[in-house]
Amino acid sequence: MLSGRAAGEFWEDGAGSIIFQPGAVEPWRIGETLAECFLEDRQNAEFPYPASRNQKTGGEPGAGADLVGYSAGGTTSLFGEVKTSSELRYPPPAATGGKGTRWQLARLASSGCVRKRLIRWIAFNVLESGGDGLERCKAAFDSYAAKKKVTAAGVLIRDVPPDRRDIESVFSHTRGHTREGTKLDVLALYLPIPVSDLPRRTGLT
Amino acid sequence: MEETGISLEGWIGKAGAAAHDDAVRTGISKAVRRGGAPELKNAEAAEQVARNYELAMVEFWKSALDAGPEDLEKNRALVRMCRKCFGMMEACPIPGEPAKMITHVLKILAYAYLGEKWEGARRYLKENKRVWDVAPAAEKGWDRRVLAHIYLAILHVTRKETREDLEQSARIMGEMEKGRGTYEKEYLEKTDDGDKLGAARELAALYQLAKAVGLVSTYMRDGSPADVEERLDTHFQKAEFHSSGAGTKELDILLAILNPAFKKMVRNSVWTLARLPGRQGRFARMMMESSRPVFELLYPQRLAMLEKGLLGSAKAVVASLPASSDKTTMAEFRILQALESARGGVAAYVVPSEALASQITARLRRDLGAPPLGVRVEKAGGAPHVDGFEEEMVSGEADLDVLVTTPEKLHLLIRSPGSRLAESLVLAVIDGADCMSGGAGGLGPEMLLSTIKHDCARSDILLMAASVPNGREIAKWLDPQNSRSIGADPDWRPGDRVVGLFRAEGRGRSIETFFRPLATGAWTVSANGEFRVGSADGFALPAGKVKDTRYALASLLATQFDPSRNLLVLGRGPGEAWKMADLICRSLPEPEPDGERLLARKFVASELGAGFPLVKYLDRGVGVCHAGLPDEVREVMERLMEGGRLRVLAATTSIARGMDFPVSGIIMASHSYPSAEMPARDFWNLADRAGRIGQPPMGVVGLATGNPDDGIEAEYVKEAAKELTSALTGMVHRALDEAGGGALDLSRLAEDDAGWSGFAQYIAHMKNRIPDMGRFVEEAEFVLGRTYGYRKLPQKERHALADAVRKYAERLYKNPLASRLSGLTGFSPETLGGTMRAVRSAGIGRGDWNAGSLFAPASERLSALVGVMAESIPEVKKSMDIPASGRISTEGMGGVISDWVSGVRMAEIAEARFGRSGAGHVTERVGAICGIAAAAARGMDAVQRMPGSGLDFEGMTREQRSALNLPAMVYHGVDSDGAVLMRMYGVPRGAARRVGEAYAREARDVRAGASGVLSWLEELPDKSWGPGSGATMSGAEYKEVWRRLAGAVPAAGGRDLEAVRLRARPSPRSLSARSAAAPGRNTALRRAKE
Repeated sequence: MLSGRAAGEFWEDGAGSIIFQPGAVEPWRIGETLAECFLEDRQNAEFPYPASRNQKTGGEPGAGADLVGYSAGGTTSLFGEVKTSSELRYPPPAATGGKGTRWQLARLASSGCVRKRLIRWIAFNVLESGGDGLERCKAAFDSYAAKKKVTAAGVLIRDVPPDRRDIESVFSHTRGHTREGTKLDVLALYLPIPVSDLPRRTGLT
Repeated sequence: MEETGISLEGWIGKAGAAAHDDAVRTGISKAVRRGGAPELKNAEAAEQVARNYELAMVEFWKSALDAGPEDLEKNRALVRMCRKCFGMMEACPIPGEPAKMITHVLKILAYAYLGEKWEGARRYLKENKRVWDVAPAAEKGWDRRVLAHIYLAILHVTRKETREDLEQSARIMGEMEKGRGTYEKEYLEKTDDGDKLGAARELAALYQLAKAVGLVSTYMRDGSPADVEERLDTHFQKAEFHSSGAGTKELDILLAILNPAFKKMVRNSVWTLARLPGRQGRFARMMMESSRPVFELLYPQRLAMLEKGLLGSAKAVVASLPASSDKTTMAEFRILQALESARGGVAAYVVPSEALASQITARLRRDLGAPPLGVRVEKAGGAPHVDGFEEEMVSGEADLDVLVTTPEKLHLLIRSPGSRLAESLVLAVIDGADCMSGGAGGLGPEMLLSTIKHDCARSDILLMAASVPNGREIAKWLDPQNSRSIGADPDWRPGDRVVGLFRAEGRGRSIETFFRPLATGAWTVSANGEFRVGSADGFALPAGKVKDTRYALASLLATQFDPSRNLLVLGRGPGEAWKMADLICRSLPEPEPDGERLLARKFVASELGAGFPLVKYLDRGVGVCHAGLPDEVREVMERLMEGGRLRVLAATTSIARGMDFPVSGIIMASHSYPSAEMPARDFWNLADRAGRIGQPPMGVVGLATGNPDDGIEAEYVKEAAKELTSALTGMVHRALDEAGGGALDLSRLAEDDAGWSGFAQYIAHMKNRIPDMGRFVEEAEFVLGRTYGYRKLPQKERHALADAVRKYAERLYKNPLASRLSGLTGFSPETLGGTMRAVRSAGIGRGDWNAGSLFAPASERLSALVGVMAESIPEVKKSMDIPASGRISTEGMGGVISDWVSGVRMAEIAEARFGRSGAGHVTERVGAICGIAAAAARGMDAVQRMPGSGLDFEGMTREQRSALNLPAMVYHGVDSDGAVLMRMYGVPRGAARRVGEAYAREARDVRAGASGVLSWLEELPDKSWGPGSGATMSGAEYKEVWRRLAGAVPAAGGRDLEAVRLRARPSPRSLSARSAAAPGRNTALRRAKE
């Protein structure tokens, strides 16, 4: 669909030039993928639908989450936020700033409205895929409807030495907003290479 | 949900049931209480349940996808689920924040389409003006502007009230495109780098959605491009691709449901029918071009015409279509199809009552009469005899394409001597085939179908009814080899409907009323508990009387409903209808003046006297309708009701069967006819009038009960409509029960019962076609086997009936003249034998059959004739009997007829011939006059045909017979052929004489032919319409009444009147050509008068 621009399409310039411009994949996108892979490998999470980047962080339409899938066993929904940062501070401003990770994760952990929307989004993806995964989706919904069970995950991707302060601040802030039934996971992944080098090192230049 | 194995409870939970109940209760409260819109108790719970319904829908969707389009149950389950989604979201409050409101409303519209309730989407847009308060220019951010533009364009393309809506939708998309050049770049430049790609992808998705909206607007307006669905798929696929890349979750969901919703809209489009060949295609285009255009078909229409083969090649089609499906439009397409494929053929449109026949005739003329369609529509009235004009209509020489009539009349017309209808009939549309199960419809429809099957070889049959569970069986009976049964989802309704019981409590003058919904299991909503309707302190009757008297309770309730609702209140007979009207009027304030009501008031006063009670009731916005009123007054009442000009119409359960206009509420003081309980099928047919398109979203049907705890009414309304059974089967069972093991005597049965009389006529007709008794005996079982009912009888009862038929036929063969007359008149051979003797004794001669002398004041010949009829024809005698208010002599009846024919007004006849006046007596007298006229017309027709009448009726030419149109004059209450013709075209009796004279003066060929008469009437100057001496209506006013009765002015929601303003007048050449072909009725008339 991205190949070739049909003559007379809306996006020959403006938005189209952004969508179709060649260029490196941004490090933050790779960071989100890394977070997904880590959770899948180490925590048996599943992300059956494409990882995506929120275009907006608040209001309708568009607000959502970076990670949308299922936690271990596939019976509970998992929603998460990922921040990739090359800042030096602990925790980085991206985690604690105005609409940073802390704020976004707290929203996922507490806002019924946001969570229901994300569950509906999963359901409609099930529909789009012809019904694959309906049972799993239903089990996760039942789990949420009956016991409000959901996993909210916050993942920091950093290229500095590990430090507990990265997750303590986020965790303690978010815990205060977390609803009953919500499992809160806060992780920090520390890369051995600079964040800025991710595109080159992964071949996504 | 059980049928699919999917559990809704799994998705909805306990909260769902409570929220659903809350929404239903809110809807019912709004429906029964005056003023104000009650709020949901727990809006948040309702919103949650709405969301959960969306999730549940995914499961139903998957189930339907897996099953494929052939699995009707799974697909229906999905549709019902979407309908629930729509219903729940519709009940939720509209979000205040614009972006949330946009999402909310778009989902409502999409679910409405997916739930096959697009008309609900339109209604929602009409009722909730706030949802239109979106101004793209006021939105910050190009992304929000784009969405606002798209939103408004979708609203316009959904509403489609006029073509302008579709144009506006396209203009909005154009404005958006213009704005893109100005605002897009700035918006993207201001977006953070990290969000830029997502923002761009979101815009790309929205642009594709905009293209899809533009495509749908164009298609609904122009019918192109032909590959619209494939193009929609392409745009939505691209939109979904970009949206998923942007991570805009809510937009993903919207796209997932808007795509199939738009496809539904496109599939509903009338453009599909516009591609049909010939006049069908032209009619479809006219529907979209009229002043009240129709761009989309309703779900049952689309299903029947586009998917299930109603317009296919099947010879017999049984269509089970829910109420408010606009079956008439479907019939119109089928009629055009039949006329296209069989040039020179005639289609018949059969309805249960004369009132409906008038309504349908007006509609067909309006829709199909104008060029380029030019369909010639005539109505054959409900009179139980064939007059000269009607004989000509079916002679094969008249300009006729569609004949609208009742089952009994069509049967008579097929059998009438000289009739070519059997050969020319190419289609019979039976609307309201429910009446085949008998009830007030008698045996007419069933026998008619049997006759059509046997006698009309070219004719296809289309049977339409609200519910025919055994449709397939009936289709097979109609044609074993080439038939089809079509059924739409019986759960489909344009609006909700609640059925329940009303009651009152209180003391003295302080009364409170309540409504308890019932779970009927038949497409109604229900909720536990009671709803308070209102309270009254100044009602005309005390609480004790109201509690114990159903019509009193019904009257009080009628005053308590919101004035915006039009109500039908039903009593058991005319007496109750009058009492209710009186009570209601005492409590209602005078409404705003209304020109239509004023005109109707004048008309009623002119016909029935200024002191007639209905005149003052109309001042309060209350009408009355029952069989004891003249036909035209009843029609005027129905037109007023249809046009929303009456707040309440008080009527009887019997007359309500023949009404077909939408109301928002029905309050029944009785669920019985005067002689029997109303069958469940009839109740549900009546209930279907409430909650139709154009009415408030919830129709209310309630029984006013004195004792809600006795459970009788509750059980009654739970009785579902049964299969379409045979009236004949029931009649045979009952007759054999009464005979107690003895043989059936068809002659005796026919004398006492209209149904058996109809059956006897059928046998007489069959006998007339088989000259040899021996052969008839051999074929008796075969003849009977053509009826649906005979096949359903057990063996023993079949033999009993066959035996009775053979014996009856033997008597017919011994008296061939009586049997021939029996087939024509509907009277039994025994009756006719006695009548023939009476006619000979009376010494009636040829010269007596002269309108001038026969209807002269104090005409002895008329009195003698009335005497013969009243004494020798039991059916006529019964109709002429005037119970309770005293009998009048045959001279008196003769005087009534003479006055009636001479144009004397009803009120004056009542006073002069029946003595004491006063409101109550006048209403009884009016009913008696109508009864005497109808009975005398029928009797006179029979007497004319008899030996000894002085006429050789059967030896005459058709023109000579037509000149003796005296029974028609009696029936219509006029004294000339010209006036009879005018009455046939809806001219009120008060103006018919003058207008008829004008018509005859212009040397017009006085014969039926809609294209000439209607346009001539339309152009006749007001002064030719009146006033006559003593009249209180001006000529212009009479003409306006005529225009309404003829359908030139649609009552409400009808398409405009091009069809009636026909420009094509018969050219002088065509007039002279007709005159040359036949000597002309005027010539024959002059000879008769000489």
